[in-house]
Order: sequence, then structure tokens, then C-alpha cells
Amino acid sequence: MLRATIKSLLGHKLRLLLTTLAVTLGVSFVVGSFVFTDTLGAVFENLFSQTTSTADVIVRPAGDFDTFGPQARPVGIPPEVIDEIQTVDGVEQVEGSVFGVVQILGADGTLLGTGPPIIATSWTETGLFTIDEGRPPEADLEIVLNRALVEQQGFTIGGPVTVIAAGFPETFTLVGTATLGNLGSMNGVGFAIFETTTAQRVLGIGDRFDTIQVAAAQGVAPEQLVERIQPLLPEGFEAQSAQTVAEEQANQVKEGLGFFNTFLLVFAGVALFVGTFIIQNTFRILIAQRTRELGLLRALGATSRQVTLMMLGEAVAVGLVASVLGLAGGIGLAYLVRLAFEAFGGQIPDEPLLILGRTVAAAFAIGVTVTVAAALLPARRAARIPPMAALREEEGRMIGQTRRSRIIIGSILTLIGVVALLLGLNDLVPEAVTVVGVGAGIMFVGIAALAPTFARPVASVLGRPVALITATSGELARRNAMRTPRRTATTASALMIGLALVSLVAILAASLQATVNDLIEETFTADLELDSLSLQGTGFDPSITDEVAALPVVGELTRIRTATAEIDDDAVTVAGIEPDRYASFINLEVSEGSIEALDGDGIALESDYAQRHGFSVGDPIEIIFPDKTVTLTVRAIFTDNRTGGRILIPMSVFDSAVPQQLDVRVLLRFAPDVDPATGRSAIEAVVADYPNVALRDEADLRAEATSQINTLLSLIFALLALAVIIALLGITNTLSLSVIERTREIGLLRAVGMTRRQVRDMIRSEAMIIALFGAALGIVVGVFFGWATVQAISADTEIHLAIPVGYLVAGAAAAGIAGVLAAVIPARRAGRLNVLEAINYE
Amino acid sequence: MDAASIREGVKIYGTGETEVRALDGITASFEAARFTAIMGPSGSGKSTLLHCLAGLDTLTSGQVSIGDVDLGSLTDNELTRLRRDRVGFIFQAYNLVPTLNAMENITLPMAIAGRSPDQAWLDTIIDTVGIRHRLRHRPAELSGGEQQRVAAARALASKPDIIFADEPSGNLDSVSGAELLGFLRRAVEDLGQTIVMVTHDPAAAGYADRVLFLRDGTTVGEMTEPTAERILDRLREL
Repeated sequence: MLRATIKSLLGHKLRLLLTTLAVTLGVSFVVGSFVFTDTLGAVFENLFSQTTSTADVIVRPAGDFDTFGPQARPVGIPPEVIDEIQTVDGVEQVEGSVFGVVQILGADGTLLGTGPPIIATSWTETGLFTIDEGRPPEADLEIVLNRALVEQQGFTIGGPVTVIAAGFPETFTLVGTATLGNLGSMNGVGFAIFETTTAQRVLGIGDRFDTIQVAAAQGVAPEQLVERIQPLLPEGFEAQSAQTVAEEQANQVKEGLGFFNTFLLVFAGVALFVGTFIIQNTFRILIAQRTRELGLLRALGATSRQVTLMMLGEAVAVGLVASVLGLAGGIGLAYLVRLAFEAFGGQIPDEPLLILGRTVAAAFAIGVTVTVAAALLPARRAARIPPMAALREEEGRMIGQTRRSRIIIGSILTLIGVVALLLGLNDLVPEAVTVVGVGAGIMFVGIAALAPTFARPVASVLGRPVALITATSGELARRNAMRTPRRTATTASALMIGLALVSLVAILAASLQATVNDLIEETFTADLELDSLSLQGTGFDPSITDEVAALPVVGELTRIRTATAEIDDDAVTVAGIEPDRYASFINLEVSEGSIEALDGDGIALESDYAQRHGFSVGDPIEIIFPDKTVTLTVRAIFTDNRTGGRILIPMSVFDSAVPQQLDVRVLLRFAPDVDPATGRSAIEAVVADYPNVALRDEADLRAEATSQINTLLSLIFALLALAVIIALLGITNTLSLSVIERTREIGLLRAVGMTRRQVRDMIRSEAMIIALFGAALGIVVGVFFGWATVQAISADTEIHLAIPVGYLVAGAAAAGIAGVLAAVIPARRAGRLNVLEAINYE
Repeated sequence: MDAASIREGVKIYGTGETEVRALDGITASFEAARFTAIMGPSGSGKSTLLHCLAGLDTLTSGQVSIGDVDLGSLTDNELTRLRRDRVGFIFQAYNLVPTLNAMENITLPMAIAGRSPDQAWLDTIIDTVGIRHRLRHRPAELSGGEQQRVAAARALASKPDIIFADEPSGNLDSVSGAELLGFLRRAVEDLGQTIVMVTHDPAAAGYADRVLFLRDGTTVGEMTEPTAERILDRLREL
């Protein structure tokens, strides 16, 4: 039987290749994800072990605080601590570092650091950086940038670089370039290094430090030093060996990469799931075409078990081939991702791609398992072919399940899927995310099982407009699509999955968009806002606001300032507001107390935050700012948290507690009778001198939200495209097999006068009908997914369902066109058939 | 004028040692409104002759004409259109498109051309072949004889200049075969149709006006007003 299996495989090389392709793509994606994230992981491990090698002990914030960023402990380490550590026995060198983000002006005057941040830090000998060219910064107004940034912007050493320091553009001199280990930059993240005092001034943290690096004297173990230093530290800080810190950092990066990996694997899973539909369909068609051959084997004495094993043997072989190709494809994919990564500004050191044994094992396990699992049902059916089939004149149709049992099984599966999906989405079961995924999968299988029962009428309806375009060719295509409802349905079901997910994402995006738009409309009552283009709340100098306020076109105006502070051992962003004016611009929906009552020693909290921390009106709250701790009383609870901060305090309190006073946002209305365009251009004229201030009106805010949503959307669409491409391969596959099966029929059509072009039209039209069927199914399922997801999210945060009808229709049309493209190869083959040979084809 | 003709037709398959001269300088013509049968032993080239005459295959050298059209000068698309508009076909088997019902199969060439059929003519043909009660049925629901009669109706429906039939009764039982041949005979007599039929069955050839005998790719004689016995006698001589 083994020989028969091999012979039969070699006899159908093309079909084998087409079948393999579906699995290959899925396996490639898995392998690519693993290889890429493994390689990145190795890169980072090297990086962290290299870079911290000169320091032995690190002093840093304790608890759930980052070294820098919004979750950094706002209260820095006082400079006296350095002097104290200096006196500790066994300490060779002590240096303090500060971290933050900064904005600089690019060579063409645009502001950098609004997207990927530019990390600002102080130069230390024991620090993370090495000077690549030039020298370290030694005086005020000197700066060192990472090499990639310098190259990208065309800065020159000795030349000027404009830095937004303390809210104002200032000109620095570039004195050198630096690298972090052997890493030029990561995904566009830049580094700006200053002399320590300058860094403290630029970042506005007084004379404090974020971390302290300690180098041990010869023969002193880091652990000993840790024990000696810890008692000297103020509350909330800890000493750790540099090695521990490096390991922690590497682990954090690995965790991040793990998430990235999971994200990619989810898409790989979708691709493989779609692939199983294709494989199952191909095997089923191949078996139907070989009914006589298999019947002959049975007649010659093969048991039904042997026929099953032969089919599964073929599946194993296909799986192995797919795994090998997928492994190669995945490595190629990882290489491509790396190129793409670099094209978008990231730099990964030239380390070879890391192919772990685990990756190879996964490729083979997945490739073979998926293929065999997909071939199981068709193989069992092949075993049921009776020996008599060999003697029948006609190629026997395979006997499938009866219509009734198909409806029952399909309905049950669909129902289970829907229930699991809803339970998972609404968090009513443990492991909710997995339940949602599995539920969606079961639902897809259920619908695919049901699809053949309604494929005939649906194909009939969808075929009518197609037949209008391509006349007789289209009509024949319509009949062909209706003739094998099961084949049409399974091929369409594969496409359904991709389109359902695309529709879901489109609906979520549209719903989010609509919700955000409404929100902006509802809450944004200013004519214009001035916004510092900063991620970390670095603002602009208040004198800029003063200049704008002095313009005659400007009517009412209010400023918002933000700072990081500590409440209940959490780092939080606190906004300083002018209570009366703020309330006139933003509708806070105050549920308790009043904003006007803030003045003096009041604080307003967003209701979710208040609830989580158990604060209510009248409670005192202690807020730790870097230089001062203040105690305020809760005077108002408000529900809106989406336009401003969650914690609002009066500007008078804010200014007394925060040393660096910068405006982060300014809301304004024009004076009465000022034309908005005139008003805006007057303000623009002032702001033009300050590249760190952006002007926005309601339309700009909306456009910004749209572009953020669209960026996310295009990423997900790009990944889902894989599932759609595999489904399209399925159309290619099914139609190629159908063309072989219908060779004589095509010959006949050609003989009685059908032109090659009309034959191609016929095949392409059938592809279009199948694709439209798949798209229709997918969109219906996707709308359901979208509705269910929006309902589930709304339980937490109110968002309303928006169905982007135009978008979905365009998606269906695109699927139809893609179907036509998928049919290019089978259509060409059909058109090229030699009439005589086709007529005489056995 | 002849409905179709071939002059010094040569058709060679393969090259070198495997070369086969299926047609070897054959010259023949087929009069309009006549029923011609082509006979000959296996490998005599009778099917090749039919295929070349019908524009399904091309000659290695020589000339084939349908009416006044020289097939050698036509492109693939022009040949296809010629087959669609001026030629009818009846094959031994697999004549019908399985997804179309009998009526749709009959009007298929006209549908492909985007023309509407002549309804009166269609009625005449359908009644002549006697399949009016089966028009809404799919091929799978028709008997072999009915399928061939539908095929014959299709061949006639577009009023072609000539119909080529390749063993049309080869797969039928004797009763159905006789019915079909009788119908073809009537199409020539009553409707003035031109038919060229390849067959190896002397009884079938007996329905023709004229029999053309082939051997080794060329004509070796012909007979007019044939009967099955006379044909058998002649075949024995060959």
C-alpha cells in the first residue's frame, strides 16, 4: 500500500503543491514569529549584559515604578544620598542619572519625539551608553545624540541642534554620537544625552536623580554593597545588584516580545484554521475524482482500513512537505520582517537569525497535525467507497451526510460557538479570551457545516448579477457554482473566516470612531486648543500662552498643567486647572459636589478612580510632589474621564507644589464676532515661533483620532490579509480541480462555439460567485461578532455600535475581484485546453 | 457549390520514427443537402478527416473549406465563431452540458453567440426529434437515445451549413440508434440539411446518400444509394 500511496502522490504533483501551499503559509507564519522574536530576545539579552557591566549596584525606585515614564516615581533621589553612598566602605565610584523624554527639532524644522520618544538622560561613565564619535557632553548647551538619529537627520558634530528645554526652544551644540551597546536605535526611539546639571534642568527635576549607579572597589561583592547601601536610602528606594537589574530588564523585554509573539501566533492560528478548510476540500475533491481508482483497490482486496491509511499517509506526506517549505518560508519571512523593521527606522544588530530546535519541532508538529486532522473526515469517507465503484461508468459522487444530520450538527455547533463567544466576551467564564477564540472557531465550523444546505439558493441569487455581466459564460458559471454546493460552500467558508474578522475589526473601529467623534463634539466646546506635542506631559512656557491671550481675537482662555505625583503609592498624573474656566470649556458631568468648590484646598476625582480607591466627597487625600507633600479634600466627583485628567486640583495648589510650571494644554474661545479663520491665523502667527506648540480645533482632534484608529486598523488588516490570501488559494485550488474534472465539458463548449475568452470568463465568474458567497457569509458573521463585542465593551465603557456599510460593501466587492484574480490560473488553463484532446479526455 | 471540401489534405502526428500520416493527400468534397457517410477500418483516418473538416483540428498541409471559407486562413477565434455559427456537431458521447436542461442545451450555441433562436424553427426541430415532453429535464434524467436526439436538435437549431456527426449512434441500442439515424435522414430530406457522418456500422451508413471509403489516410472509393449489404461487401474487399 505504501508504494500505491507514493505513486498516487507523484501522479498529482500540481494538486499536491496547491494543497501544500495552504499549510505552508500558516507554518511559515508560525516559524517567522518564533524566529523573529527569538532573535530579538537574544539581541536584548546580549545588550543588557553588555551595557550594565561597569556598574555593580543600582539604586532605583522600589515597588511598581518604572525608571522613567508615566509610571516613574515622581519623587527623585536627593543629591545628599550620593555623598552618603560615597562614604560607604568598598565603593569605588558613585554617579547619579536622570531619565526623561525630550523633544528636538529635526533638520527640516519638524518636531521629533512626538511619535517614538527621544529619551533624555545624563552622561555618566558607569551608564548604559558608549560614545561612538566625538566626546561626551561636558558643559551646558552641549548634546550627544544616538548615531541613527544623527545619520537620519543629517546633523553634524559641532553643528547646532534645537532642543525644547523647559518649554522653550534652545540651541545646543552636538558634540558627539552614542550607541546603546551595539544597538543604534530601536524602532525610531532616540537618545539625547546631556551633562548632568543640564539634563536636570531640561527635564525639570531640580537637583534630584532617578537612579544611582555604584561601582564596587576591587574584591567587593555587589551583594555586600547592596546590604551596606540599602539602610542609607530614603523611603521608597532600593539598591539592587546590576546583574539583577539587567536580568529584570531582559525579562521585561522578553515579556513584551512574548506578547508580540502571541499576537503574531494568533494570526498564524487563523491562517492555519483557514488552511484546514482548504486541505479538507482538496482531499475531498481528489477522493471524489479517484472514486474508481479507490474502488479498484477495494476490488483487488484492499480493506477499507488500508484505504483510510493510504489517504492519511498522503496527508502525512503533504504535511511533511508543507512543514519543510513552511520552515524555509518562515525564515525568509523573519528576514523580511527584519528588513521592514529597519525600513521603519528600527535598527537590529547584524546578528544571525536564531532558529531554535523548538521552532523546527513546532513547524513539523503543526504542519503534519493540521494536515492530517483536516484529511481525517475525507479519508474516512474514502474508506466507504464500495468495490462496485470501480465498475461504474460515471465518476461516482461521494455520498455525504444526509441533509438532515448536516443541519442538526451544523446548528448545534453554531449554537455552542455563539454561546461560548457571548459567555467569553462578557467575562462570565474563566479564561475568557481563550473561550472567545474557541467559540468563534466552533461557530465557523458550524456555519461551514450548514453552508452547503443553502449554497445552492445563495449561489443562484449571487450569480444573477454576475450572469448579467458575462452573459452565457456567467450563467454557466452560476450553474456550476450551484452544481456542487458542498465544494462551493467549503471554499467560500474559508474566505468567510478572513472576512468575518476583517468586518469585526472594521465595525469596532467605526464604533470607536463614532463614539470618539460624539465625545469630542459633546465635550469640546473650545474654538481652539494649544497642545504641547509631548507624550510625557512636558509643556510649553506660560509666556507663550500669555502672548496668545493678549491677542485681540482671543476671548476666554484656560490653561491646564500636569505633573506626576504619588497618591497611595501609585504614580498618577495630576492636572492643575482653573476651576471656573475649566468647567466652562469641558462638561465634566459632575455627579457629586462642584468644581467651583475646588478653590483653596479642593481636589476633583473621576468617578472610576474614586471608586477604586474608596474616596468620596469630603475625604482628605495626601499627594506627594517631588518637593512638597500637600493634603487636599475631595470636593467633586465627575464621570467624564476621557478629555482631561482623572485628578484635578486648583492651579494655585499646583503652582505651589510643582517647581517647573509649564502649560500642557490651553483651551480658548475667540472674542465675539471674530471669524474662526481670521482668529486661527492670528494665533498661528504667534505660535509659529514655537514648534513645540500645536494648534487644534474640533476637526483636527477628530482627524487625529481617525488617523490613530486607522494606523491600528491597517496593521491588523495587513495580518488578516494572510487569512484572506490562503482562502483565495483555496478558490484557485478548487477551480483548478474543477477544470480538470470538467475537461470534456469545456471541450464540448469550445467545440460548439465558445471562445477561449468566454471559457475564461466562465471560470472567473464562478470564482467571483464563490468569493461573493464567502464575503456575504463573512460579513454576516462579522456583523454579529461586532455587535457582540460592542455590547460586551459597553458593559464597561459606553460605546455605540456603528456599522460601516460602505466599507463592508467595498470589502465584499474587493473579495469578488480578488476571487477573479484567484481564478486567473485555472481560467487560463481552461482557456488553453485543446478542443480535441478535451473532448476525448477520459 | 460544395458545403465542404478538402484538397490534398495531409495530417502528420509525431516526428521521425513515431511519425503517423493520419491523412495522406486526401481530396474529397461534400455536396450540400446530402447525407454522406465516411467509413473505413480503424486507423484509416476517418475521425481525423472529420475533425479537420469541422475546424477542430488543423491540416499539416492542404486546404479545407466550409462553403467558400478557407479554414487554413482563420485564427482560433474565427474558427471558433465558424463552428458556432455555421457548423453543427454530434459526438458519440458526452454531447450535453450537464448543468443545462435539454432546451438550454439545444439553444446553447445561440446563447454563446448572444443571439435569440428562431422560435418557429426550434418548434419544428423539437417536434421532428420528438423530445418536447423532455425539454425541462437535465441530461442526467434523459436516456442515451434522448440525449443524442437533444444533441441532434442542438446541431440543427442554429441552421448550420453543415453538421458533422462522429459515430452518433455508437453508444445506443439498435432501436434508439435507428430512431436517431432516421431523424438525421429526415433532416436531410425534409429540411435540406447537409450531414457528414463517420461510422463503422454498415447499417448506420445505409441511411446515407453516399458512402466514402477511407484507408491509410486517403479515399479508396465511394458508393451512392448504399445499402447495408453492399457496404459490407465493399468493406470485405478493402
